[in-house]
Amino acid sequence: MFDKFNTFLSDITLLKGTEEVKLSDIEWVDFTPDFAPDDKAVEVTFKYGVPDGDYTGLKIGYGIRADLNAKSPADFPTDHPLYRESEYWSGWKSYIFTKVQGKVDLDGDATPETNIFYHCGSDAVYNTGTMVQDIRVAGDGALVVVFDLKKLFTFDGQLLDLTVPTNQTTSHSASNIVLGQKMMYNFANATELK
Amino acid sequence: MRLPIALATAALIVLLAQCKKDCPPIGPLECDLTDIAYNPTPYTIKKPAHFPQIPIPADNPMTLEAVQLGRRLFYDPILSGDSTMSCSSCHLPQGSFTDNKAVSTGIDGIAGRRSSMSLLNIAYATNGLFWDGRVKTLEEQALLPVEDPVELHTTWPEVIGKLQQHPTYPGLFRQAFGISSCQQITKEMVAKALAQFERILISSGTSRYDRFVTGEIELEDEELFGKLMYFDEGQNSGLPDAQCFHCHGSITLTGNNFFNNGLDSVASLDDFPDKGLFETTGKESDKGKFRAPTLRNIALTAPYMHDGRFQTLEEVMAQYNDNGFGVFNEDPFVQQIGFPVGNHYPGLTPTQTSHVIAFLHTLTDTAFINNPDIQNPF
Repeated sequence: MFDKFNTFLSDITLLKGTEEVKLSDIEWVDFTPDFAPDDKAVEVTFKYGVPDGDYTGLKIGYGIRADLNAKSPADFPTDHPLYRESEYWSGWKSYIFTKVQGKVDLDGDATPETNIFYHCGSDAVYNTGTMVQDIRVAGDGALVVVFDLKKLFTFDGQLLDLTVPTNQTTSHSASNIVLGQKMMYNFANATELK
Repeated sequence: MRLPIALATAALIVLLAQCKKDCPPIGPLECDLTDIAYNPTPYTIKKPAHFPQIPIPADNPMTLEAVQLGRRLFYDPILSGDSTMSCSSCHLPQGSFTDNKAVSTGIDGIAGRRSSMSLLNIAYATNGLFWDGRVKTLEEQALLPVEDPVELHTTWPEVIGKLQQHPTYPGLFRQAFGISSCQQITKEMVAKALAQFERILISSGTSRYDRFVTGEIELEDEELFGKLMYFDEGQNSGLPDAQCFHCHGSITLTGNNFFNNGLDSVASLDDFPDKGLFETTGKESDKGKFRAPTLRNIALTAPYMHDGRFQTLEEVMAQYNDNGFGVFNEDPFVQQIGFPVGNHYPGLTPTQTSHVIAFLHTLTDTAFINNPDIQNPF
């Protein structure tokens, strides 16, 4: 059961062969549910104006690209996604790209009791993903991008073993950045264009 | 038999003389203010260079005249039912704009249920005000205490009536908002002026921590160790995580978010004596969550927590060192303070705790509380 899921997405770009049509430099997306069951989707909508035409895919940066991540909330106007102070950690000199938090039931009593939290950030964990798919834009329409948290926790076809304490959390400790990196790199696998 | 009549006549004359001097005519107000110049002066809020930009709503641009009006209103008991209390009764400069009481008491002597929150850097709070986030803007917030029966306990029509008939305020509203008659004073203007004053309640940037951040000074060892633990930066120095920054992070030392910080051991979320953010959102997961206040000037704002249950920072740290109660929606970071021993987190040692408290004292900003621009103008 998740009670927090938010993330920064960078350089959201429609592809048209070798052409790129950037929709946004940076967005902060908050999917935080209210004790939502695992199968209940939380929808967030962004609107962009794009030229009509046939596109070949969508590219997304998961996290914040280095030049923007080198800045801090004090560098941005108040309506900018990177003004968000609660998502910046001075210890990393980085934004917290993603926060995923919740509880899992490890003792089998049907009540989630064990905390899991993954706060991932720093240039080392930034990556991009491209979804190749024909996209026709003609007038108003919608692209639905699905982030599947179950897939985010699936590595090499195996669900992350949450009974292992070192798999339950990563927040900032350099010793656990590997898990944070794996998770951020897994965003591309967990993202699907409908 | 003639003497009483003579006295009554004399008294009437005196009253008329007073009204000629100070009062508007009795009956419908026809107070023309257009002789007073309306040339609002744009106001730039002073802030430390390392602080983020201050959000200003487009429909309430900062002007010197409105800030000065707001300051006067903030300290003026005219906003209360019996003219005994003002905003400043619960938000005093020396308490970093708290009242240093567990819970605040209104004009009728009725205690509220929560502690007054510091207004330091309140301009940055754009994610919900009050402990339960029930309003989004300072302008909305300023409307509520006036009519709250456990606060200023009056009505807006009554307040507006007093302001319209006041010898000074109509002119000040004219200078701030360009109204042409007393009758155009509204509660929204009062709220806008109060909000503008509250937006200038910004750190001076001269606390020891700020001077450390800007490279002017070094912290003492114990302060530095405390800082490393506070921000979970101490791994390379052999220090545990105090986890403070997750809720009290960023330059303003609050992320302006809401948390269950592990104060109460309840069997179910329905058992919280004060359900906090849930009262605003109706979300089950928000029961028992409260806005994390800024820790700037925390040494000046005792007692602590939404209900003022702790008198000292030592008591606060002792609570956190117990690592919460495992309540369902408790913030996970509250449960992982200190070095883990197996699956157990024993909290910080007494020495480590004292170092975190030493760091908290570096956040004291006496230049802010003594800033002449924000003191009582009366």
